[in-house]
Amino acid sequence: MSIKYIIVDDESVAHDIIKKYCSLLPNMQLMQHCYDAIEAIEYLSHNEVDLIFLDLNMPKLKGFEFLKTLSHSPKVIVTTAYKEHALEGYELNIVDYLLKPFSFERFLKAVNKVRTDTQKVPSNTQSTVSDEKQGRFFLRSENKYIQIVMDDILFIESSGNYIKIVLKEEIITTRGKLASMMELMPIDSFLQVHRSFMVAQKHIKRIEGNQIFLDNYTVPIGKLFKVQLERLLK
Amino acid sequence: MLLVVFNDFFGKEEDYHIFILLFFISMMVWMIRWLIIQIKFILRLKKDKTQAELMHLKSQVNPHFFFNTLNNLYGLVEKDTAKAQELILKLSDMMRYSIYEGQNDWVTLADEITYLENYMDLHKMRYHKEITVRFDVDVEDSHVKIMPLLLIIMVENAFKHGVEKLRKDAFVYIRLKATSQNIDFEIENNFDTEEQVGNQGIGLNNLKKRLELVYLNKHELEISSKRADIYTIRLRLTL
Repeated sequence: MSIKYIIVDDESVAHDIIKKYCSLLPNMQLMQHCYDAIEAIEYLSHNEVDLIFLDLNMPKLKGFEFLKTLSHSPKVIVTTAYKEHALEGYELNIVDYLLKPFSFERFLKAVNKVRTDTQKVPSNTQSTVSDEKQGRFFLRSENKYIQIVMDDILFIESSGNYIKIVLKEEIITTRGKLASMMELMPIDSFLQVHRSFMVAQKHIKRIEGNQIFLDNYTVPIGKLFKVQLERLLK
Repeated sequence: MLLVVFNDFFGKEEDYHIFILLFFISMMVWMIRWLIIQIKFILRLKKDKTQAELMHLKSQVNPHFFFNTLNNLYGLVEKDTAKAQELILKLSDMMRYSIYEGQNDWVTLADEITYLENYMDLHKMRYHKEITVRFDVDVEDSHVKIMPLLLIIMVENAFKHGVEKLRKDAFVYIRLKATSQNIDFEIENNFDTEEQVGNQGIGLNNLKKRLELVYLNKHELEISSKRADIYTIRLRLTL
């Protein structure tokens, strides 16, 4: 499922930056360049989008006033040089607030929030839980950005400044800490079993002594984490 | 008791009256001296306060302008390196000027003009829409002195309330004429008449205060509007 987005900003270089960042990600589809809020309103009256990148200080209609005019608002990521409006932004339920200039990493974090959110939204009829586990996110590995389906993750191992994400088919290495990965994962489906290991609960085959068997791998259980695990088994 | 002592000393009652008179006169003199000292003290306090106020009023580079410019540079670096480099130099000139020269009491008009030009050049690159900016300079002696960061207030105003708020056809026309005796600065910009006038006054109040402090009775500030959507501000300084 691709994310359809528009950019609303009166500065053309700001468009270039966002467009370039999005081109590095798969499934991002630019629908329209809008150079002020009026143009955005015109476009949105005939079209639907999933995401708006919104600048705040624009002619005629400021970013937030524009948001208030939308009855059914898509996801919004605010991009601005104004630090002082962040609070108001969160009151309007924006997804994220990016301060110009922003890095690709920061941008990615914002877009990932939209992705996990949009995946959740359509799941109003049947199994909410399984849909939530369908979550995907992007990860930087060397010079590539790899989309990872949460369901495919067997376990995550950290060593030094790197983490290894072990999927059914492949292993992805990226810079980072286990703690930052834990923020991305749904808490109820991932379990930390060791200082440097986090496993997907649903992929556990068996637990034997101080080891967990997943697929063809074995993962150690840390002393401190054993209690937690036992609680789970009860 | 006192009376007895006085009577003993002067003997006569008339002498005693003279003494009372002298006593009051010296009292008065002493009190006036005391008052003068107090007034001097208050005046000094006030002067310090004015100085502090003036320092405060000399605004630094507007942070939003600064970050937006950085964002533009961030985007431009890859696309047009030469242009980005040129603009980085302009921005650093502006920063240096406002940080160091801005602290001085006086700068040359030439330096102030360069600052205005840099500001406008950086602004021009920002927008997708076409904007028209004209800056006519007619200066006899560019070494005349002026209070720093004074003219920029009016230029910033024109961009903030005019250019930024208009969807198209925005313009700013500036005319600067200077001789060794006076400076005549006029700036004209169009604006959106539907735009609500919010805190439009802040920059202008700042300007007025600073003029009162430094160019007392030596300035003329004139605001006019030759058309409903055009704002003109003219400042004449006697040097």
